[in-house]
Amino acid sequence: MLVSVKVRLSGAAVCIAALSGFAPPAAGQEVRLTESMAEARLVLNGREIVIGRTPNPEAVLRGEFTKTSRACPPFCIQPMTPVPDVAPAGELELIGFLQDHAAQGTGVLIDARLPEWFGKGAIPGAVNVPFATLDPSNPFRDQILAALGARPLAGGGFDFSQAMTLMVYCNGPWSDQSVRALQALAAAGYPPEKMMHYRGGMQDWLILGLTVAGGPEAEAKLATAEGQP
Amino acid sequence: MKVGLIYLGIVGSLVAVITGVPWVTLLKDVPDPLAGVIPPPVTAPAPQEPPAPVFTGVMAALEEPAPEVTRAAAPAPDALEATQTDDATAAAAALAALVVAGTGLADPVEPEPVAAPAAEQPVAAQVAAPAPQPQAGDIDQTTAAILAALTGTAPESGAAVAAADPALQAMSVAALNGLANAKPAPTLEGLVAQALREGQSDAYIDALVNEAAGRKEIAVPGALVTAEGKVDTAVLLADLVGKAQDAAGQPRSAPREVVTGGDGVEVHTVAQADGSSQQFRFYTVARGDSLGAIAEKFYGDAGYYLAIFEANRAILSTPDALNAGQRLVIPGISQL
Repeated sequence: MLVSVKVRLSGAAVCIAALSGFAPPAAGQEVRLTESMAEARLVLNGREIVIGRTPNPEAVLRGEFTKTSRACPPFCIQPMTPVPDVAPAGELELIGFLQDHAAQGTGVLIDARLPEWFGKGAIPGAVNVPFATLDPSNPFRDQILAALGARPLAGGGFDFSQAMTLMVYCNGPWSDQSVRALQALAAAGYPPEKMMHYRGGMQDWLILGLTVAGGPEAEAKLATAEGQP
Repeated sequence: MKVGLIYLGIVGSLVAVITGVPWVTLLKDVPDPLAGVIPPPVTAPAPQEPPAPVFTGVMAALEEPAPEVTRAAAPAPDALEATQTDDATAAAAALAALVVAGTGLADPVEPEPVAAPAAEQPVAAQVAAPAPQPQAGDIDQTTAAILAALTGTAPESGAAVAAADPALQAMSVAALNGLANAKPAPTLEGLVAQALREGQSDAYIDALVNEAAGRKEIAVPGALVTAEGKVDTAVLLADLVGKAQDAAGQPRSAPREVVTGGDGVEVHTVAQADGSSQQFRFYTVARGDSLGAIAEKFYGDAGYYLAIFEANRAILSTPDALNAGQRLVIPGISQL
């Protein structure tokens, strides 16, 4: 008896909300990652990471990531597969990569942007390895490759057999930073099958309202969640 | 090529440690110098006996900065690969390389130019030292990973680093720190390689590995799990010696008839209708046995555990499902 009353009440509430044009109250369960997954949880370097979506169905982007027509060059449309055999990835593949590789210590999510952009907000769990640091002219490049698990060989070059699997991203389809990072890594001999490319980058991550690392401040800067358009 | 020479040195010292005889002395009695360069099979230590002296030898060889033999002495591996060649010069060079690279037991036959490599610890190695991360596979993979970890050469030290542009340097250092935080989870391979580097005893390694396995921190290949559920580090360490030999290009793959009798071993000869006879061997699992240990016992190489596992699928669900008292069929050498 009590149960049926409750059901009717909540049904009525939804009706009223829809008729009067008000957004329904924000509840985490209403904006899920997928039908079967509300959010993703993983532990990375001893810290728990939760990736979910902005719960407000009316939220829109504000600021930097709303531009449609950045000048090209330099902001040109980038290929999905800039290096042959580097697998393209979407958000679910990226989240799966964090769980199956990064959390297991066998992979690193690489943010190839410059530190200034990384500091404004990044995908949770990412490590900032700016594309410029992977250029052969950087005297630190070999140390970075070694930190990724490449083993320097006595006669020059590297053995990448134990190297980490990488997922590389940058600002989005209009930014060439992840492309340059992937090309530099491939030129250094990094096996393409150990690299993945999230071409959508921050642009696509934000348009889906996905969790941004860097706290509420970063999220406010990058993806303003507004109830009213 | 250079790597091959380094391994020759490792094996040279290994063999010298085991036999206690300098190789150069032995080679004098061998008519064909090439035949002498390939040492005879080394008797692997029994799994129950901690093979400490052998590993001290391996580590002594591995930890020494491996001398880089210059091109002048370099034809050795080629000479070994092309076994048909009877180029005495190449053989002499190989011998010289072997002596130069590790034993320290005899003067080189002909002094060869040797370049000492820079072995300085790089900044990156202090900041981040990612361990290899293979999946828990078979013993071969585990062993190969440990050897790879141990023989990895250090990256160039940062002499050029001072010239870096400050912004690039700051970004690079931040990236290195970020990557250092992305610490990989410990692995069986990483633990053993680290302990061997530190010169730890076999007993220490056994305790270390078993504690980590007990806490489920590391994955262990099934063939290394004993009938009591412990990790058989003795077999793992024995396999390491075999792999060091492999790396030096020595034939190790041929299985040998090591056991014909002994505790738990039964041999049945069945007469066939055509007058021939066939041998069937069985082994009753004892406490402390692992599939790897049994393969080592019968074939001289833990890597053959899969043959025993496959022959006993009826009673073994997985390679680590061994129980004391189980009677296993041991396939004949011809069936491997």
